[in-house]
Amino acid sequence: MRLPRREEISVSYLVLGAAILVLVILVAWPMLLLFVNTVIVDSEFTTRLWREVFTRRQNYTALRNTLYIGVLVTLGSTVIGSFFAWLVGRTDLPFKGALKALLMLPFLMPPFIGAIAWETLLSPRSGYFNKAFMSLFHTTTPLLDVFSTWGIVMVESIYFYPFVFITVAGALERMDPTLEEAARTAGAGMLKVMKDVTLPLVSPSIMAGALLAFAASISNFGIPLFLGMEKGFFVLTTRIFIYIKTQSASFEGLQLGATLSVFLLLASGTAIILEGRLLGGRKYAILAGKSMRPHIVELGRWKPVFLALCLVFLFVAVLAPIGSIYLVSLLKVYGQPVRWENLTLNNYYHELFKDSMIRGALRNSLVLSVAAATIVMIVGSVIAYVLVKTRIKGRKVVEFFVMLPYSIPGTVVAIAMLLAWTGKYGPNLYGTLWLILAAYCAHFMALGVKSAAASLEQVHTSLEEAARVSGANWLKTFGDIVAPLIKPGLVAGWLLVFIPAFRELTTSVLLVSTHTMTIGVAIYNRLEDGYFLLATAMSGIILLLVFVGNLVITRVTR
Amino acid sequence: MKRATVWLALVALLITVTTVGCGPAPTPQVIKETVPVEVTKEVVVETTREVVVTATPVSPTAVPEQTGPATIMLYTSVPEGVVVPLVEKFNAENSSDITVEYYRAGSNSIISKITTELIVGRVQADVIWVADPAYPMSLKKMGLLMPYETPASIPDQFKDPDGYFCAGRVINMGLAYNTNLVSAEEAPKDWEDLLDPKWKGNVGLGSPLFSGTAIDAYQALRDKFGTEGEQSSKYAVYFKKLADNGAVVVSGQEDVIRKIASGDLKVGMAVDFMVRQQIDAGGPIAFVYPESGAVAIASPLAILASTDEPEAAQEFIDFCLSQAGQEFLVQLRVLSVNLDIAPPEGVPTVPEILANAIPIDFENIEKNRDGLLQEFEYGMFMAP
Repeated sequence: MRLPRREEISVSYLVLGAAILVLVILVAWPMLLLFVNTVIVDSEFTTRLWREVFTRRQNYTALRNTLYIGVLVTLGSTVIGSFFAWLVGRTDLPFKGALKALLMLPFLMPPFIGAIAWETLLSPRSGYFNKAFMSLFHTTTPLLDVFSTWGIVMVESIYFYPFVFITVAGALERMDPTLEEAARTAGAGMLKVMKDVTLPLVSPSIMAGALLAFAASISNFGIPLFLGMEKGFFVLTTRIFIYIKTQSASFEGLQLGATLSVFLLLASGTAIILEGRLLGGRKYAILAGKSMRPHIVELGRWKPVFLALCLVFLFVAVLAPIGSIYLVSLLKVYGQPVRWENLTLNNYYHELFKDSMIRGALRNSLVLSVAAATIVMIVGSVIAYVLVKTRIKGRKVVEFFVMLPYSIPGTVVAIAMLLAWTGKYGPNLYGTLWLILAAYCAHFMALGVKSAAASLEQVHTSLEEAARVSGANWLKTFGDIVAPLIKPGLVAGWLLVFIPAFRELTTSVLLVSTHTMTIGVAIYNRLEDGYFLLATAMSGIILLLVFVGNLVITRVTR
Repeated sequence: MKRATVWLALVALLITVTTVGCGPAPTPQVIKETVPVEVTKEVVVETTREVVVTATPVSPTAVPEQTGPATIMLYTSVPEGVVVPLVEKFNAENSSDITVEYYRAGSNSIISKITTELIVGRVQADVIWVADPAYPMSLKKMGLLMPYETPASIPDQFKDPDGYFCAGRVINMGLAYNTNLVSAEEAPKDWEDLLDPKWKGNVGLGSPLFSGTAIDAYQALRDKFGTEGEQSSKYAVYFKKLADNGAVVVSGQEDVIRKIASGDLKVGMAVDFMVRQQIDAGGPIAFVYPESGAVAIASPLAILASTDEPEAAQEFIDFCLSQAGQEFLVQLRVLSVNLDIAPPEGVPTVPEILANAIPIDFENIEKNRDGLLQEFEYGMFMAP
């Protein structure tokens, strides 16, 4: 690359400096306060909290459980996600558009609602699947007890495979098909092309998706909370939660929880390093300047088999839990058999028209998630550009601060935000939506950066160089060449942030007050109050809204 | 270009680090700060209370300056099915244009939230209403509560001797069973019946990690049946036996009811009024007051000393404790602290329940909450 002119330097510095400033304000500063609080108690330096956390046997058990679940979920998600991405992206399977939309559905489900949906299906005695299984085979042993390690692994895999599915499907769409065609022309068979050309080309995306699934699994709170606690099965997030709960009368619980979250950092830090190692030096520029139809694999006589596989998976893993949520939401009393006389629309009526808090929560969540997704994608794509397209030395530090808030549980992000933005060191944002917005931006920055980076990695530098040679400055190059090329990736990234932010629970739960209630917390409160039917009705409404919103956005941006 | 950016980032980070490093350590300061703040609040409280006393004999409309339009915040663990109708009734009927807003969550979430707000600077709640009396005892010790007037219709046994809190309802932990799966004859009659192997894997209880009622019940039954082991491997005998019988620890009390009603569990420990509400809704569930006594809890109302609206807070509490307010609670299946009000149909009277109830060492819960929770966790999940 030739040396940039002076005025370009100032513009690029300004943009990068602004992005980094946002990162420092949103992430570095609150996180530093958090760590300071783990070693300074009563104005004195102490290692007491660390010793307490690192000498407890239960914490090591929780770490082992976290990694065990994390690895199995990553494997499960990667296999399911990559397979279906290939199936709907690169084969002549019929109804691909509809199948793709349906396969994305689990991503729209809040994981803790998913856990409850699966409880209605696989609860050892009253779950619909287990009941059907037991009466079919005349046994008292359930098919699968959802309140078990395997239950957790299965439910998490079902809700986290879309991370892999999205990134891999995106890569397959953008991949230069001439490479595959060249291999075919050279006489390679379908399987050989897949193995030697397609798979290596999408492997960075598979890896990126797998890491997102891993990070989602180890930082997930709702699923192990609802499915693991009954049997005393703890992971790090639920262990941190226990610290905060059991020391609830003092600040020490928050401090111990924050200290334990360092365990989680170790786990996710390892993942980041691993990614660097695994992908080290292997950069693929597979998005060329020309657009072409992707190469389609003909399934031939295997077509019905793959279609059946797809449909069975969709029915069992995706549609049944959603259907179960809607079914339960129509019941008059939980546990009643599904008969015409037991059905009612009252739960919906109550949530939509009787409760003003629910309406406020809906509005807040909408404002927060749109704002967070937009900020994250603007700042995130600039940071991603720094990470991917420059050789700046501090890149790894920037990357660390981006990944940090995503890899620790939302509860801890919330504590950090409370420490930083409640008037002791600056403005007091407590009780305002700004506080929650700051937490969302920090928490989801990693998703924005990662998705923008994945797209940027595939834009060949030659395109930018061409623009530069023709006299465009850095900003113009970014705006006119890079941004349009990565636009599908940015839109996907925007959705990747918007949807989890819309029904976020873990972070919000510590930050909301009555006027800043979010929809995730509203549903959780319903569940905690035992209004299971109202919670399912509300979930039904949310799913519908998210699904319709998703359709509209993809239509508009196509 | 690149090098300069690194510097920019480094300088930014350095500024952050140094400000933190040189600045005061955040946590301890706040905790220490609360003491003087409380003192000033107490002073404020003292002055305002005088006003209240002089104003009490006069009807509220005669003193519009004191009880003008006001908004107060209630933090409560009382389920929405009870607190929402009650608050709506108050908001509609009070003559002083007071609006009560509420934040509803499990007892421990309320405690966490107040703890957070203490660290942050100011508790947003004006009034709290939780299940476990040990928590307002803690708040009283920390000087965070404001004493208030209570009506004479409420017996002294439900009031804090210094007037810092007063119970607004009586809730009882007893036994519940699914009426589709368990007949009234074979249903458990007393606490030890839950240990019968015929319920193996089918017994449920709420977790003290979520529920204030559950920690009170833990303390009561722990003392009744004793503990074994020392230090970190100490456990409550009864709960260890429950664990050995495959007992399921769900989160809140409402979850126990839901799982018994759905048939996922056959029996369990449950709160009386929640079972009655579930029966009203048509759920196949029934409640049993244990022969050797229920765990009876007088669920307290308290006013935070930091409130800006002490008169409005007092007026809301007056409403809750009034004849009309308490009768309304009974309609919602809750037991009243006004002993003149008859309980819901088919339910023993409060004096009958209390006479037989298992004593609860609230002092110990207040002092040793964290230790109790760890002990519960050890006995339930870890003890060999």
